[in-house]
Amino acid sequence: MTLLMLLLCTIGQPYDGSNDSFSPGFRIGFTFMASFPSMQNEKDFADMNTAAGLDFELGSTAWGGSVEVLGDVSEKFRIRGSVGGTNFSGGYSEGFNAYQNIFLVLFTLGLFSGSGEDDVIELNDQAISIEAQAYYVLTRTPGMSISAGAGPMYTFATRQLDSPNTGTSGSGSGLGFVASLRLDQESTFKLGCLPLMFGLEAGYRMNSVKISADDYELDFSGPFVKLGSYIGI
Amino acid sequence: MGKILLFLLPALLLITAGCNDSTYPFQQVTDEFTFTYDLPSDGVVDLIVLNCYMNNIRTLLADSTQSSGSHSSSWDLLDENAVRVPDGLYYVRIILDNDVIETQMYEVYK
Repeated sequence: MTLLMLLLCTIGQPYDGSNDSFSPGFRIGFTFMASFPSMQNEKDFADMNTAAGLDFELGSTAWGGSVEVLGDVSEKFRIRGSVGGTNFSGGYSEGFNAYQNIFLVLFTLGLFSGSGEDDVIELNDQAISIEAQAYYVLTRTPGMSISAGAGPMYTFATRQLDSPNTGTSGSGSGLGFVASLRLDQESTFKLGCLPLMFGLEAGYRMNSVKISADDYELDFSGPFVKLGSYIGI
Repeated sequence: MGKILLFLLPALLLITAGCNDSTYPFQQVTDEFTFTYDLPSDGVVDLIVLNCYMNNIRTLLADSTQSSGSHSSSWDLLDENAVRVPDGLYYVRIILDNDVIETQMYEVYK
């Protein structure tokens, strides 16, 4: 929220408030998203690695972003279309060889150091989703609106597992569903001559993708929070 | 010669500082190998191999009654269809009386 306010103060110009009534229009925006996917299979996979003696660390948050088009089709209805990407990762890493590192630092008079982590096993699950959502505007005041919506999504997902000498990848696609509540702060500021709007969205997505041939499911289902900025087009 | 070594040694150390495969908690195999496992008690043993999608790709031992102690078995890197498995990570599960008592991990590559 602080970042949002800072952004508003930096690039926003006070709007004169002469046009508080609703007018249909479209906006294009960029969002940043954090989601908390189920990923039960990946959790089981991480457990299997742990049982095999690896300290396998699996993330709990999937990070992503999207490009969106948001349209007010009437005073009560809003639509949204977006293309976005999400990344979920995990892995096993080891520290650099301590003895070699000591000699390295000594011989190079401290110029080089092998400090850090050596990624031994890397797991990356990536998804590209196309979403279409329709919203019902629950409340609209000058400069602000709250809406609830739902719609379908289609996801293309890949799973990449890398080890020191091998790489295994799989991909698949699947249909999903998303429902959310969004808060939009609009018409208060302008970016030059373009209307500027900020949106905060929270919801739940049901989005499971089967990796072809191996019957392995990447379950991106779970709650999400999204923050975006939009300009009028 | 001394000067060359002075430059070469740090470069060699820089390259190898992160290379410590010997410490990996899994074995890297390119051909048939033998592994050992310990049974804490007598019982019915199953040995299965899973791929990185947790699918059972080979049963090495099924419903075999074994006594407690150390045992060994081998895997020829073939799946149930006698086809060599693709490069990747594989897991051998030792199951005693329907409980997984040990999981061993192998990196298989050519």
